[in-house]
Amino acid sequence: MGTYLERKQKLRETFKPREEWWSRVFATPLAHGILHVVADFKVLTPNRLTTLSFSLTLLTSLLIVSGMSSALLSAAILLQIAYVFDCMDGQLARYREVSSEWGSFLDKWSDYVKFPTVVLALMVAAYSQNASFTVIVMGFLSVFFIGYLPYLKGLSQQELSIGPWAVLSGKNFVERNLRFFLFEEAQLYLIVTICLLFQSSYWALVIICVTQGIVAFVQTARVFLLSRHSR
Amino acid sequence: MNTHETKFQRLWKTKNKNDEWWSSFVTSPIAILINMVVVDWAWLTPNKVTLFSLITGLTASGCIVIGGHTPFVMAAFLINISHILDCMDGQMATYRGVSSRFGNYFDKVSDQILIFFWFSAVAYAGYQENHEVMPVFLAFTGVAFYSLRVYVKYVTIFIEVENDKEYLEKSFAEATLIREESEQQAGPGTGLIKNCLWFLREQRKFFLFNEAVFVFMISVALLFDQICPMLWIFAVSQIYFGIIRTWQRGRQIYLGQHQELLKPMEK
Repeated sequence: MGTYLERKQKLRETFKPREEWWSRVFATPLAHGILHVVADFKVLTPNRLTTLSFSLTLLTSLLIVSGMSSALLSAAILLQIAYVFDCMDGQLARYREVSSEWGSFLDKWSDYVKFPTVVLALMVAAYSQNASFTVIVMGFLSVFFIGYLPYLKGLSQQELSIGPWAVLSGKNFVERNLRFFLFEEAQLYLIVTICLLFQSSYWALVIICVTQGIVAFVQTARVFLLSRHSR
Repeated sequence: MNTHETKFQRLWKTKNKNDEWWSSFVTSPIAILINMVVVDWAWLTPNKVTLFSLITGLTASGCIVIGGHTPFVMAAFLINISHILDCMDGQMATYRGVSSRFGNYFDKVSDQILIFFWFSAVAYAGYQENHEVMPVFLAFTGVAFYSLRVYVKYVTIFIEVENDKEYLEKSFAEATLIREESEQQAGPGTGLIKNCLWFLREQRKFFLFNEAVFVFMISVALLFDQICPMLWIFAVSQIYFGIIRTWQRGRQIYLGQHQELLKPMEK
Protein backbone atom coordinates (compact mmCIF):
# COMPACT_ATOMS: atom_id res chain seq x y z
CA MET A 1 0.00 0.00 0.00
CA GLY A 2 2.98 2.30 -0.50
CA THR A 3 1.28 4.11 -3.32
CA TYR A 4 -1.74 4.78 -1.16
CA LEU A 5 0.41 6.38 1.54
CA GLU A 6 2.37 8.33 -1.07
CA ARG A 7 -0.85 9.64 -2.53
CA LYS A 8 -2.09 10.60 0.90
CA GLN A 9 1.16 12.39 1.66
CA LYS A 10 1.03 14.22 -1.66
CA LEU A 11 -2.53 15.28 -1.05
CA ARG A 12 -1.60 16.57 2.37
CA GLU A 13 1.11 18.75 0.87
CA THR A 14 -1.39 20.46 -1.40
CA PHE A 15 -3.54 21.29 1.58
CA LYS A 16 -2.98 24.98 1.98
CA PRO A 17 -5.75 26.23 4.21
CA ARG A 18 -6.87 29.63 3.06
CA GLU A 19 -6.42 32.25 5.66
CA GLU A 20 -10.04 33.26 5.58
CA TRP A 21 -11.93 32.40 8.67
CA TRP A 22 -14.95 30.46 7.46
CA SER A 23 -13.03 28.82 4.65
CA ARG A 24 -10.48 27.46 7.12
CA VAL A 25 -13.24 26.09 9.35
CA PHE A 26 -15.48 24.61 6.69
CA ALA A 27 -14.80 24.67 2.97
CA THR A 28 -11.11 23.85 2.76
CA PRO A 29 -11.24 20.78 5.02
CA LEU A 30 -14.33 19.55 3.20
CA ALA A 31 -12.72 20.13 -0.18
CA HIS A 32 -9.69 18.21 1.04
CA GLY A 33 -11.88 15.31 2.13
CA ILE A 34 -13.61 15.12 -1.23
CA LEU A 35 -10.29 15.30 -3.02
CA HIS A 36 -9.19 12.10 -1.27
CA VAL A 37 -11.84 10.36 -3.34
CA VAL A 38 -11.87 12.25 -6.61
CA ALA A 39 -8.29 13.48 -7.01
CA ASP A 40 -7.46 10.93 -9.69
CA PHE A 41 -10.63 11.18 -11.74
CA LYS A 42 -9.42 12.17 -15.18
CA VAL A 43 -12.66 14.01 -16.02
CA LEU A 44 -12.05 16.52 -13.29
CA THR A 45 -9.51 19.14 -14.23
CA PRO A 46 -8.85 22.22 -12.09
CA ASN A 47 -10.20 24.54 -14.79
CA ARG A 48 -13.36 22.46 -15.11
CA LEU A 49 -13.83 22.72 -11.36
CA THR A 50 -13.49 26.50 -11.56
CA THR A 51 -16.03 26.62 -14.37
CA LEU A 52 -18.37 24.32 -12.49
CA SER A 53 -18.14 26.49 -9.39
CA PHE A 54 -18.79 29.58 -11.49
CA SER A 55 -21.82 28.04 -13.21
CA LEU A 56 -23.25 26.82 -9.93
CA THR A 57 -22.99 30.30 -8.48
CA LEU A 58 -24.75 31.76 -11.51
CA LEU A 59 -27.46 29.12 -11.10
CA THR A 60 -27.74 30.13 -7.44
CA SER A 61 -28.29 33.73 -8.50
CA LEU A 62 -31.11 32.65 -10.79
CA LEU A 63 -32.69 30.64 -7.97
CA ILE A 64 -32.48 33.65 -5.66
CA VAL A 65 -34.15 35.86 -8.27
CA SER A 66 -37.01 33.38 -8.66
CA GLY A 67 -37.80 34.07 -5.00
CA MET A 68 -39.69 30.86 -4.23
CA SER A 69 -39.00 29.54 -0.75
CA SER A 70 -37.85 26.10 -1.94
CA ALA A 71 -35.57 27.79 -4.48
CA LEU A 72 -34.05 29.95 -1.76
CA LEU A 73 -33.35 26.87 0.33
CA SER A 74 -31.58 25.09 -2.49
CA ALA A 75 -29.74 28.30 -3.36
CA ALA A 76 -28.40 28.42 0.19
CA ILE A 77 -26.98 24.92 -0.13
CA LEU A 78 -25.77 25.27 -3.72
CA LEU A 79 -23.81 28.36 -2.81
CA GLN A 80 -21.76 26.45 -0.24
CA ILE A 81 -21.21 23.54 -2.65
CA ALA A 82 -19.98 25.99 -5.27
CA TYR A 83 -17.60 27.47 -2.73
CA VAL A 84 -16.21 24.04 -1.83
CA PHE A 85 -15.50 23.41 -5.54
CA ASP A 86 -13.81 26.77 -5.66
CA CYS A 87 -11.47 25.65 -2.88
CA MET A 88 -10.82 22.33 -4.61
CA ASP A 89 -9.47 23.67 -7.88
CA GLY A 90 -6.26 25.08 -6.43
CA GLN A 91 -5.59 21.98 -4.35
CA LEU A 92 -6.20 19.72 -7.33
CA ALA A 93 -3.90 21.80 -9.53
CA ARG A 94 -1.11 21.54 -6.95
CA TYR A 95 -1.70 17.82 -6.49
CA ARG A 96 -1.43 17.14 -10.21
CA GLU A 97 1.32 19.77 -10.58
CA VAL A 98 -0.56 21.46 -13.40
CA SER A 99 -0.84 24.95 -11.88
CA SER A 100 -0.95 27.46 -14.71
CA GLU A 101 -1.26 31.19 -15.19
CA TRP A 102 -4.42 30.61 -17.17
CA GLY A 103 -5.95 28.58 -14.35
CA SER A 104 -5.04 31.30 -11.93
CA PHE A 105 -6.60 33.96 -14.15
CA LEU A 106 -9.78 31.95 -14.56
CA ASP A 107 -10.00 31.37 -10.81
CA LYS A 108 -9.41 34.98 -9.79
CA TRP A 109 -11.57 36.46 -12.52
CA SER A 110 -14.51 34.20 -11.78
CA ASP A 111 -14.16 34.89 -8.04
CA TYR A 112 -14.35 38.58 -8.83
CA VAL A 113 -17.44 38.28 -11.01
CA LYS A 114 -19.32 35.68 -8.96
CA PHE A 115 -20.08 37.59 -5.82
CA PRO A 116 -21.48 40.77 -7.36
CA THR A 117 -23.79 38.53 -9.38
CA VAL A 118 -25.12 37.02 -6.16
CA VAL A 119 -25.56 40.49 -4.66
CA LEU A 120 -27.39 41.62 -7.77
CA ALA A 121 -29.73 38.63 -7.43
CA LEU A 122 -30.29 39.42 -3.74
CA MET A 123 -31.09 42.99 -4.67
CA VAL A 124 -33.65 41.98 -7.29
CA ALA A 125 -35.23 39.49 -4.87
CA ALA A 126 -35.38 42.00 -2.03
CA TYR A 127 -36.76 44.67 -4.35
CA SER A 128 -39.55 42.43 -5.60
CA GLN A 129 -40.60 41.82 -1.99
CA ASN A 130 -40.25 45.38 -0.86
CA ALA A 131 -39.97 47.99 -3.59
CA SER A 132 -37.92 50.49 -1.67
CA PHE A 133 -35.14 52.70 -2.92
CA THR A 134 -32.93 51.68 0.03
CA VAL A 135 -32.64 48.16 -1.37
CA ILE A 136 -31.23 49.45 -4.65
CA VAL A 137 -28.84 51.78 -2.87
CA MET A 138 -27.56 48.97 -0.65
CA GLY A 139 -27.05 46.69 -3.65
CA PHE A 140 -25.23 49.47 -5.45
CA LEU A 141 -23.00 50.20 -2.45
CA SER A 142 -22.23 46.52 -1.82
CA VAL A 143 -21.14 45.89 -5.39
CA PHE A 144 -18.93 48.95 -5.32
CA PHE A 145 -17.28 47.91 -2.05
CA ILE A 146 -16.80 44.34 -3.20
CA GLY A 147 -15.14 45.57 -6.38
CA TYR A 148 -13.20 48.27 -4.60
CA LEU A 149 -11.40 46.01 -2.11
CA PRO A 150 -9.51 43.92 -4.71
CA TYR A 151 -8.78 47.16 -6.54
CA LEU A 152 -7.27 48.61 -3.40
CA LYS A 153 -5.28 45.44 -2.93
CA GLY A 154 -3.92 45.51 -6.48
CA LEU A 155 -3.17 49.18 -6.40
CA SER A 156 -1.29 49.05 -3.12
CA GLN A 157 0.68 46.07 -4.34
CA GLN A 158 1.61 47.73 -7.61
CA GLU A 159 2.17 51.28 -6.47
CA LEU A 160 3.34 50.81 -2.92
CA SER A 161 4.40 47.17 -2.63
CA ILE A 162 2.13 46.93 0.39
CA GLY A 163 -0.05 43.94 0.99
CA PRO A 164 -2.79 45.49 3.14
CA TRP A 165 -4.21 42.03 3.62
CA ALA A 166 -1.07 40.98 5.44
CA VAL A 167 -2.97 42.19 8.48
CA LEU A 168 -3.95 39.44 10.92
CA SER A 169 -2.13 36.78 8.96
CA GLY A 170 -0.41 35.51 12.11
CA LYS A 171 -0.65 31.86 12.93
CA ASN A 172 -1.62 32.24 16.59
CA PHE A 173 -5.11 31.49 17.73
CA VAL A 174 -6.21 35.03 18.51
CA GLU A 175 -5.07 36.54 15.21
CA ARG A 176 -6.52 33.70 13.22
CA ASN A 177 -9.90 34.26 14.76
CA LEU A 178 -9.72 38.03 14.60
CA ARG A 179 -9.73 37.56 10.84
CA PHE A 180 -13.42 37.00 11.33
CA PHE A 181 -13.76 40.78 11.31
CA LEU A 182 -12.26 41.12 7.83
CA PHE A 183 -15.46 39.64 6.35
CA GLU A 184 -13.78 38.02 3.40
CA GLU A 185 -15.21 36.07 0.52
CA ALA A 186 -16.00 32.80 2.29
CA GLN A 187 -17.77 34.60 5.08
CA LEU A 188 -19.88 36.60 2.68
CA TYR A 189 -21.10 33.35 1.20
CA LEU A 190 -21.83 32.14 4.72
CA ILE A 191 -23.84 35.27 5.47
CA VAL A 192 -25.83 34.85 2.26
CA THR A 193 -26.47 31.18 3.05
CA ILE A 194 -27.71 31.93 6.56
CA CYS A 195 -29.96 34.76 5.41
CA LEU A 196 -31.37 32.61 2.61
CA LEU A 197 -32.19 29.90 5.13
CA PHE A 198 -34.19 32.56 6.94
CA GLN A 199 -35.71 33.57 3.58
CA SER A 200 -34.45 37.10 3.86
CA SER A 201 -32.43 38.52 1.01
CA TYR A 202 -32.97 41.94 2.51
CA TRP A 203 -30.91 41.23 5.62
CA ALA A 204 -28.17 39.62 3.55
CA LEU A 205 -27.90 42.90 1.67
CA VAL A 206 -27.86 44.96 4.85
CA ILE A 207 -25.11 42.89 6.48
CA ILE A 208 -22.96 42.74 3.33
CA CYS A 209 -23.32 46.43 2.68
CA VAL A 210 -22.46 47.50 6.22
CA THR A 211 -19.56 45.10 6.81
CA GLN A 212 -17.98 45.71 3.41
CA GLY A 213 -18.37 49.45 3.84
CA ILE A 214 -16.57 49.39 7.17
CA VAL A 215 -13.81 47.10 5.89
CA ALA A 216 -13.33 49.23 2.75
CA PHE A 217 -13.04 52.37 4.84
CA VAL A 218 -10.65 50.85 7.38
CA GLN A 219 -8.43 49.26 4.75
CA THR A 220 -8.20 52.52 2.77
CA ALA A 221 -7.17 54.35 5.93
CA ARG A 222 -4.66 51.61 6.77
CA VAL A 223 -3.00 51.77 3.37
CA PHE A 224 -2.77 55.54 3.68
CA LEU A 225 -1.06 55.30 7.06
CA LEU A 226 1.27 52.51 5.93
CA SER A 227 2.25 54.34 2.77
CA ARG A 228 3.22 57.43 4.72
CA HIS A 229 5.76 55.32 6.60
CA SER A 230 6.98 53.46 3.54
CA ARG A 231 8.01 56.54 1.59
CA MET B 1 9.35 86.53 -22.15
CA ASN B 2 11.94 84.03 -23.27
CA THR B 3 12.16 82.41 -19.86
CA HIS B 4 8.37 82.26 -19.78
CA GLU B 5 8.30 80.37 -23.05
CA THR B 6 10.69 77.71 -21.77
CA LYS B 7 8.65 77.25 -18.64
CA PHE B 8 5.60 76.59 -20.80
CA GLN B 9 7.50 74.11 -22.91
CA ARG B 10 8.92 72.38 -19.89
CA LEU B 11 5.41 72.11 -18.48
CA TRP B 12 4.08 70.84 -21.79
CA LYS B 13 6.65 68.05 -21.61
CA THR B 14 5.13 66.87 -18.34
CA LYS B 15 1.82 66.32 -20.13
CA ASN B 16 1.02 62.67 -20.21
CA LYS B 17 1.41 61.44 -23.82
CA ASN B 18 -1.34 58.89 -23.58
CA ASP B 19 -3.79 61.23 -21.92
CA GLU B 20 -7.42 60.21 -22.11
CA TRP B 21 -9.78 61.88 -24.56
CA TRP B 22 -11.28 64.95 -22.83
CA SER B 23 -8.17 65.58 -20.75
CA SER B 24 -5.83 65.31 -23.72
CA PHE B 25 -6.94 68.57 -25.34
CA VAL B 26 -9.15 70.27 -22.74
CA THR B 27 -8.46 69.71 -19.06
CA SER B 28 -4.77 68.87 -19.37
CA PRO B 29 -3.85 72.01 -21.39
CA ILE B 30 -5.92 74.12 -18.98
CA ALA B 31 -4.07 72.45 -16.12
CA ILE B 32 -0.78 73.44 -17.77
CA LEU B 33 -1.94 77.05 -18.06
CA ILE B 34 -2.85 77.12 -14.36
CA ASN B 35 0.41 75.42 -13.50
CA MET B 36 2.23 78.25 -15.30
CA VAL B 37 1.20 80.37 -12.34
CA VAL B 38 1.07 77.99 -9.42
CA VAL B 39 3.69 75.33 -10.13
CA ASP B 40 6.36 77.18 -8.15
CA TRP B 41 4.24 77.91 -5.10
CA ALA B 42 6.12 75.94 -2.52
CA TRP B 43 3.20 75.46 -0.13
CA LEU B 44 1.10 73.82 -2.81
CA THR B 45 2.22 70.21 -3.00
CA PRO B 46 0.92 67.73 -5.60
CA ASN B 47 -0.78 65.72 -2.86
CA LYS B 48 -2.65 68.81 -1.71
CA VAL B 49 -3.80 69.35 -5.29
CA THR B 50 -5.10 65.76 -5.37
CA LEU B 51 -6.92 66.43 -2.12
CA PHE B 52 -8.51 69.59 -3.58
CA SER B 53 -9.53 67.57 -6.62
CA LEU B 54 -11.20 65.01 -4.37
CA ILE B 55 -13.00 67.67 -2.34
CA THR B 56 -14.17 69.52 -5.46
CA GLY B 57 -15.43 66.27 -6.95
CA LEU B 58 -17.32 65.35 -3.79
CA THR B 59 -18.86 68.83 -3.68
CA ALA B 60 -19.99 68.29 -7.27
CA SER B 61 -21.79 65.08 -6.33
CA GLY B 62 -23.40 66.98 -3.45
CA CYS B 63 -24.72 69.53 -5.95
CA ILE B 64 -26.10 66.75 -8.17
CA VAL B 65 -27.94 65.23 -5.20
CA ILE B 66 -29.49 68.62 -4.32
CA GLY B 67 -30.88 68.75 -7.85
CA GLY B 68 -32.35 71.58 -9.90
CA HIS B 69 -30.97 73.54 -12.80
CA THR B 70 -28.47 75.79 -11.03
CA PRO B 71 -26.89 73.03 -8.89
CA PHE B 72 -26.58 70.88 -12.03
CA VAL B 73 -24.74 73.63 -13.88
CA MET B 74 -22.52 74.14 -10.86
CA ALA B 75 -21.85 70.41 -10.64
CA ALA B 76 -20.92 70.23 -14.34
CA PHE B 77 -18.49 73.07 -13.73
CA LEU B 78 -17.04 71.54 -10.54
CA ILE B 79 -16.54 68.13 -12.14
CA ASN B 80 -14.38 69.73 -14.78
CA ILE B 81 -12.47 71.73 -12.16
CA SER B 82 -11.88 68.53 -10.24
CA HIS B 83 -10.55 66.89 -13.37
CA ILE B 84 -8.28 69.84 -14.14
CA LEU B 85 -6.84 69.58 -10.62
CA ASP B 86 -6.44 65.87 -11.18
CA CYS B 87 -4.31 66.59 -14.26
CA MET B 88 -2.37 69.31 -12.44
CA ASP B 89 -1.07 67.13 -9.63
CA GLY B 90 0.77 64.74 -11.93
CA GLN B 91 2.21 67.57 -14.03
CA MET B 92 3.35 69.41 -10.93
CA ALA B 93 4.99 66.31 -9.47
CA THR B 94 6.82 65.55 -12.73
CA TYR B 95 7.84 69.18 -13.20
CA ARG B 96 9.29 69.40 -9.71
CA GLY B 97 10.71 65.89 -9.90
CA VAL B 98 8.93 64.88 -6.71
CA SER B 99 6.77 62.06 -8.08
CA SER B 100 6.14 59.66 -5.24
CA ARG B 101 4.54 56.26 -5.04
CA PHE B 102 2.17 57.55 -2.41
CA GLY B 103 1.13 60.41 -4.69
CA ASN B 104 0.46 58.05 -7.56
CA TYR B 105 -1.55 55.78 -5.30
CA PHE B 106 -3.56 58.61 -3.76
CA ASP B 107 -4.30 59.95 -7.23
CA LYS B 108 -5.67 56.63 -8.46
CA VAL B 109 -7.71 55.84 -5.36
CA SER B 110 -9.32 59.28 -5.46
CA ASP B 111 -10.20 58.78 -9.14
CA GLN B 112 -11.96 55.52 -8.37
CA ILE B 113 -13.83 57.01 -5.41
CA LEU B 114 -14.93 60.04 -7.46
CA ILE B 115 -16.28 57.91 -10.29
CA PHE B 116 -18.37 56.03 -7.78
CA PHE B 117 -19.66 59.18 -6.12
CA TRP B 118 -20.45 60.94 -9.39
CA PHE B 119 -22.40 58.08 -10.84
CA SER B 120 -24.21 57.40 -7.57
CA ALA B 121 -25.26 61.04 -7.43
CA VAL B 122 -26.33 61.03 -11.08
CA ALA B 123 -28.28 57.82 -10.50
CA TYR B 124 -30.03 59.43 -7.55
CA ALA B 125 -30.87 62.51 -9.63
CA GLY B 126 -32.22 60.22 -12.37
CA TYR B 127 -34.35 58.42 -9.82
CA GLN B 128 -35.73 61.71 -8.51
CA GLU B 129 -36.88 62.69 -12.02
CA ASN B 130 -39.73 60.21 -12.27
CA HIS B 131 -39.14 57.74 -9.45
CA GLU B 132 -38.05 54.87 -11.63
CA VAL B 133 -35.19 52.61 -10.60
CA MET B 134 -33.81 52.18 -14.12
CA PRO B 135 -31.20 54.96 -13.84
CA VAL B 136 -29.92 53.45 -10.58
CA PHE B 137 -29.74 50.04 -12.14
CA LEU B 138 -27.83 51.36 -15.15
CA ALA B 139 -25.32 53.29 -13.05
CA PHE B 140 -24.90 50.21 -10.87
CA THR B 141 -24.15 48.01 -13.88
CA GLY B 142 -21.82 50.57 -15.39
CA VAL B 143 -19.75 51.04 -12.26
CA ALA B 144 -19.55 47.28 -11.66
CA PHE B 145 -18.27 46.65 -15.18
CA TYR B 146 -15.92 49.61 -14.99
CA SER B 147 -14.47 48.02 -11.83
CA LEU B 148 -14.14 44.72 -13.67
CA ARG B 149 -12.26 46.47 -16.42
CA VAL B 150 -9.82 47.91 -13.90
CA TYR B 151 -9.61 44.59 -12.06
CA VAL B 152 -8.48 42.74 -15.19
CA LYS B 153 -5.46 45.00 -15.19
CA TYR B 154 -4.62 44.16 -11.58
CA VAL B 155 -5.36 40.45 -11.79
CA THR B 156 -2.77 40.29 -14.56
CA ILE B 157 -0.27 41.93 -12.24
CA PHE B 158 -1.08 39.52 -9.36
CA ILE B 159 -0.58 36.50 -11.59
CA GLU B 160 2.56 37.74 -13.31
CA VAL B 161 4.20 38.82 -10.04
CA GLU B 162 3.52 35.37 -8.61
CA ASN B 163 5.61 33.80 -11.36
CA ASP B 164 8.17 36.52 -11.86
CA LYS B 165 9.26 38.64 -8.92
CA GLU B 166 10.69 41.26 -11.27
CA TYR B 167 7.54 41.60 -13.34
CA LEU B 168 6.71 45.07 -11.99
CA GLU B 169 10.19 46.44 -12.72
CA LYS B 170 10.20 44.88 -16.19
CA SER B 171 6.78 46.19 -17.14
CA PHE B 172 7.70 49.62 -15.79
CA ALA B 173 10.84 49.63 -17.98
CA GLU B 174 8.73 48.55 -20.97
CA ALA B 175 6.27 51.38 -20.36
CA THR B 176 9.10 53.91 -20.12
CA LEU B 177 10.58 52.61 -23.36
CA ILE B 178 7.27 52.93 -25.18
CA ARG B 179 6.80 56.44 -23.81
CA GLU B 180 10.26 57.51 -24.95
CA GLU B 181 9.74 56.09 -28.43
CA SER B 182 6.51 57.97 -29.02
CA GLU B 183 7.42 61.43 -30.18
CA GLN B 184 6.02 64.72 -29.03
CA GLN B 185 3.12 64.78 -31.44
CA ALA B 186 1.72 68.19 -30.70
CA GLY B 187 2.14 71.30 -28.63
CA PRO B 188 4.16 74.48 -28.97
CA GLY B 189 6.58 74.50 -31.89
CA THR B 190 5.10 71.63 -33.89
CA GLY B 191 3.10 73.74 -36.33
CA LEU B 192 -0.58 74.34 -36.87
CA ILE B 193 -1.29 71.49 -39.30
CA LYS B 194 0.39 68.93 -37.12
CA ASN B 195 -1.57 70.16 -34.14
CA CYS B 196 -4.84 69.98 -36.07
CA LEU B 197 -4.09 66.44 -37.25
CA TRP B 198 -3.20 65.45 -33.72
CA PHE B 199 -6.46 66.94 -32.48
CA LEU B 200 -8.44 64.96 -35.03
CA ARG B 201 -6.61 61.75 -34.24
CA GLU B 202 -7.25 62.22 -30.54
CA GLN B 203 -11.01 62.07 -31.17
CA ARG B 204 -10.84 58.31 -31.58
CA LYS B 205 -10.10 58.07 -27.88
CA PHE B 206 -13.67 59.09 -27.14
CA PHE B 207 -14.71 55.51 -27.77
CA LEU B 208 -12.51 54.19 -24.97
CA PHE B 209 -15.18 55.44 -22.53
CA ASN B 210 -12.79 55.96 -19.66
CA GLU B 211 -12.64 58.46 -16.85
CA ALA B 212 -12.07 61.60 -18.92
CA VAL B 213 -14.97 60.67 -21.18
CA PHE B 214 -17.16 60.23 -18.08
CA VAL B 215 -16.33 63.79 -17.03
CA PHE B 216 -17.55 65.04 -20.40
CA MET B 217 -20.60 62.74 -20.47
CA ILE B 218 -21.76 63.69 -16.98
CA SER B 219 -21.31 67.42 -17.61
CA VAL B 220 -23.27 67.29 -20.86
CA ALA B 221 -26.01 65.16 -19.29
CA LEU B 222 -26.35 67.63 -16.41
CA LEU B 223 -26.39 70.70 -18.64
CA PHE B 224 -29.00 69.31 -21.04
CA ASP B 225 -30.92 67.23 -18.51
CA GLN B 226 -30.29 63.96 -20.35
CA ILE B 227 -29.36 61.76 -17.41
CA CYS B 228 -31.07 58.54 -18.48
CA PRO B 229 -29.69 58.39 -22.05
CA MET B 230 -26.21 59.13 -20.68
CA LEU B 231 -26.51 56.28 -18.17
CA TRP B 232 -27.54 53.91 -20.95
CA ILE B 233 -24.42 54.82 -22.92
CA PHE B 234 -22.34 54.44 -19.77
CA ALA B 235 -23.70 50.99 -18.88
CA VAL B 236 -23.49 49.55 -22.39
CA SER B 237 -19.98 50.87 -23.02
CA GLN B 238 -18.71 49.51 -19.70
CA ILE B 239 -20.23 46.07 -20.29
CA TYR B 240 -18.52 46.04 -23.68
CA PHE B 241 -15.13 47.02 -22.28
CA GLY B 242 -15.42 44.71 -19.27
CA ILE B 243 -15.85 41.78 -21.63
CA ILE B 244 -13.27 42.94 -24.18
CA ARG B 245 -10.52 43.54 -21.61
CA THR B 246 -11.19 40.16 -20.00
CA TRP B 247 -10.92 38.54 -23.42
CA GLN B 248 -7.72 40.37 -24.37
CA ARG B 249 -5.76 39.74 -21.18
CA GLY B 250 -7.24 36.25 -20.78
CA ARG B 251 -6.10 35.35 -24.28
CA GLN B 252 -2.57 36.62 -23.66
CA ILE B 253 -2.35 34.64 -20.44
CA TYR B 254 -3.86 31.54 -22.05
CA LEU B 255 -1.35 31.65 -24.88
CA GLY B 256 1.50 32.57 -22.53
CA GLN B 257 2.49 35.70 -24.44
CA HIS B 258 4.86 37.04 -21.81
CA GLN B 259 6.25 39.82 -23.97
CA GLU B 260 2.74 41.14 -24.62
CA LEU B 261 1.90 40.85 -20.94
CA LEU B 262 4.73 43.21 -20.04
CA LYS B 263 3.22 45.97 -22.14
CA PRO B 264 0.90 48.31 -20.31
CA MET B 265 -2.70 47.90 -21.33
CA GLU B 266 -5.43 50.48 -21.31
CA LYS B 267 -7.71 49.62 -18.46
